[in-house]
Amino acid sequence: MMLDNTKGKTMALHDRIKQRREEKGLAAIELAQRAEISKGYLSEIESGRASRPSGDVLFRIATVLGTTVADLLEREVRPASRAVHPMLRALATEEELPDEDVQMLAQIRFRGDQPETKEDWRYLYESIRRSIGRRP
Amino acid sequence: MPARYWGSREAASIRKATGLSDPITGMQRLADQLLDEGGWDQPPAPPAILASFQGVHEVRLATMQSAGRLVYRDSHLVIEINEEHSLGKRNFTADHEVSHTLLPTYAGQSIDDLETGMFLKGSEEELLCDIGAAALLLPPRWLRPHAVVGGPSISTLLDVASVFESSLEAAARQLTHLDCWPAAFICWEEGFRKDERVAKGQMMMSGFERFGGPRPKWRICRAYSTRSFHHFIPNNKSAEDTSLVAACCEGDRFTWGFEDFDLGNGPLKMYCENYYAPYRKGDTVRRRVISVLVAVPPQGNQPTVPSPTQMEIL
Repeated sequence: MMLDNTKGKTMALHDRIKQRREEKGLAAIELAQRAEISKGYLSEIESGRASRPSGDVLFRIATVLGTTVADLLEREVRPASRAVHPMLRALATEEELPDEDVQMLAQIRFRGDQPETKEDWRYLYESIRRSIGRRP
Repeated sequence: MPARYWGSREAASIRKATGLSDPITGMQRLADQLLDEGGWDQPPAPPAILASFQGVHEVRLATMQSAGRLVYRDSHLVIEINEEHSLGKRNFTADHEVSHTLLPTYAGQSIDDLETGMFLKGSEEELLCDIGAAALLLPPRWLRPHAVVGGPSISTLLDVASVFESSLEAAARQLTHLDCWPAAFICWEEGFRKDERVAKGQMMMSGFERFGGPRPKWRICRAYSTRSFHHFIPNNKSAEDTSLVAACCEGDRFTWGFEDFDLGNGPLKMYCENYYAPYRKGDTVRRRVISVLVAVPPQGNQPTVPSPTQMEIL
């Protein structure tokens, strides 16, 4: 997919890093040590004074924070996941379907068509689950 | 040469996303953009970091039959790689999985790749992901200086595989795509002509036992040639038992010199360097010779004799 880092961004990178750190309850010095960067550099990153860190540094920060570089950069890496039929999305919300199952169903097409009603999506999903359940 | 026909959703989505009519070039462009995002200026670009840029939480080794897979573990997308494979193969597979996430059609689904690096034309998605992996692991912009300075030689091949942390054949394929010089890398393995292959357990005709069965010869099983190497390389063509190709399995594992190669139009004298590089696949060790063929030998005295390398596990 074309890499567009400006579309739909709600938060700057430095704010996101700081937010994630605070969500994890990490002191800045601890994040800096575990990411093997200086506290001063981390302070510059979180205040937005540093230019964008390298991929290696971002990765180390993301790893300590238990997330991915894509999350820190708010990169949309699964554009096809947007294309979920509204009735499937309604079923997913109602039944609290796992995201992976929703994405799997969203890819299914029969001669180019997909189910049009929530009940038809439910039938398809149950059929797949039952047929998988019958395997030895 | 007529352009290849692409019929898959994946190919169409790359064309649409990149504005390029050739999905191969489009895939390479997507790979380049990911490398640019990471800001590296020299190899290797670590697959785990590339994966993190694509929302993958971890690249981990696992006990598995497949080469690699994209799966969810504890609701996080991870890449799992066959722990038994060599570093170069593992890197290629990890980049192959990352390439799946580069496709505009990727929607977070799990993927299991029994094999990678086959560049099979039968599956466009897998072919495009192999091309993406090659572009991520051996980017032309970093590879070209090595090729230009090193020239077509076994030393260049081994140097590239080491610096880029790739397998020998992945390096050979990418080097030839650059077309910096007219040359070919040929992989020889022992095998039979099609009409010599016998069924397992087939008995010899009575009275003919003393003649023995057909003996395997060194045969071309894979070849990578530059566009400027204007010779067709026929698959399964054999090398003579007295050839430099066969000789490099004995002793020093490296031979070089001029040799007559019959590529289908009569003997052609070419300069070659041959390196014995067996590899393990599953439980089987396969004997393999990798040759580089050029019409004109590189300048200078005798070639650098390469140091032995660890056996690849593919």
